[in-house]
Amino acid sequence: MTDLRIDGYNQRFPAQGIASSRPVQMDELPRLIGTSEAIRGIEEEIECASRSNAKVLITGESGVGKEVVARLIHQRSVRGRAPLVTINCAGVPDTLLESELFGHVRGSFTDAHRDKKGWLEQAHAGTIFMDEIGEMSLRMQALVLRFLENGEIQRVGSDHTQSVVDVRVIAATNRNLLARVAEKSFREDLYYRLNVIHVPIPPLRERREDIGGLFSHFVHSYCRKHRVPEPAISEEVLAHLITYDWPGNVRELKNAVERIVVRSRGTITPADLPKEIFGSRVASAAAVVQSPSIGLADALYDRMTVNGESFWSAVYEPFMSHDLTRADLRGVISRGLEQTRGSYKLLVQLFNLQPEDYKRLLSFLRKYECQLPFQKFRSVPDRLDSVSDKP
Amino acid sequence: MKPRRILILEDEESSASLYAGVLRQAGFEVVVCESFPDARACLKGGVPDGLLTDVRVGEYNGLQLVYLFRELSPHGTVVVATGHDDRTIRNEAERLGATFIVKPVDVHSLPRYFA
Repeated sequence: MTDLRIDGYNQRFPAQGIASSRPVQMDELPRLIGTSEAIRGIEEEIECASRSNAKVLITGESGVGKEVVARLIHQRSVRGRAPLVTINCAGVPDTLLESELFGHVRGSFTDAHRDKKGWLEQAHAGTIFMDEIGEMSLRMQALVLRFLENGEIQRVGSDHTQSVVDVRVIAATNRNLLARVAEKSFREDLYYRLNVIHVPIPPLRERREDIGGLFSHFVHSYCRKHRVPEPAISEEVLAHLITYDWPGNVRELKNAVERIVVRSRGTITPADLPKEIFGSRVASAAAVVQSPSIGLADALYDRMTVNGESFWSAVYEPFMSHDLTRADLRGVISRGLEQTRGSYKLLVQLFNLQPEDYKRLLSFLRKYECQLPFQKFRSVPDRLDSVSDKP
Repeated sequence: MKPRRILILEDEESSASLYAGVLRQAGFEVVVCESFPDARACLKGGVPDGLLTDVRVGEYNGLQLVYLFRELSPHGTVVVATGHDDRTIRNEAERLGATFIVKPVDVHSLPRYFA
């Protein structure tokens, strides 16, 4: 299954990213957390975007909060009470993406037993958030380009236009799309059609003044979630947090805070920090990843479990672009299954995937002959302790 | 009388100086910006009477400047001049009340749009 979520207006604002912890009043929508000039600029762009119907392109590294910004634009716009449909374009085969996006008619392929509305029709009057748009094939780009021109939907297997829908498109990517345009893997006309309002979100290391506020926000919200008293935090801890480069950005910070909160015993000292943050003054995480003394599988594993990157960006993307071999992929899966004692369900959680990604992950692994038999991991000694700490 | 002020966003230097030259000669005060962030900063510094912008400006779309300008000046003159006649972009520009022209621009007719 592909990753699809449809939100109603009253859905609780997610704790992830840069949203405020203040309760949402009818006349007060969540705001971004941070005092940096970048955050003020992004707030301005969100305001401008929410007053218009213009298409928006949000760019930034993994974990900076692109979806949070998309959600804010939708919620603050006149479409706020209509659905927000979120899709992730990465790793979805073309034919599936086309039928999910545009719908299909009965009999158009083997399993098409009845007519089905696509995501674009489901998002009618609302917003569609297309994440990882840079991963879309040229064929799908052509279909989206045509849709953007007139809003016409032609279901797969149909010979006529089904309907014309009114959907606002917000796209996001962690890729440099202009570089992809230059190498002809992303259409230039689609780039400028999608990119009417451009909201670049800088990485956390370029706006270190926001780290303290985000940290306090996450500490507060996780203490509430886990019903533990708020711990005292030393100045030294804050200094470590601010010095660290946060390659996994806000998501990494959020994951680190949850682990710290769950393990805290009243006061947080530097010793309570994850090792890569504690040691950040001597070696950045990037250096750790590149270190030849650590195996590639372990480095990738750490990027997901420590830095909070998702399997799709940390492993799937480099694998598809031939930067990783099947042996590397098997290595990282084996490392994960060791931790989860053979459970693929827990692996999905460990590798920062959504529960609905389970089937997609398994079919990907099967396709490349990297689905390892779970039985062989059942006898591995208990290493589940850190899995249970994951959000 | 104070001359009318035009903000130009055009990343191609030769086009920018051609537009600016013609408009200055026609009596306008012209500010040229070659990047979107510069143009946005200019807009914050004071609302011009008119805007002339390209569409494909590096990683930005000139229409973003039109949206910002429209919030400050609902009736100010906007001309969008682009080398690519994209119907979707044209419709969007026209919905924003802009005149959409395809390059090569007949520069001598430019002052008339802002008159």
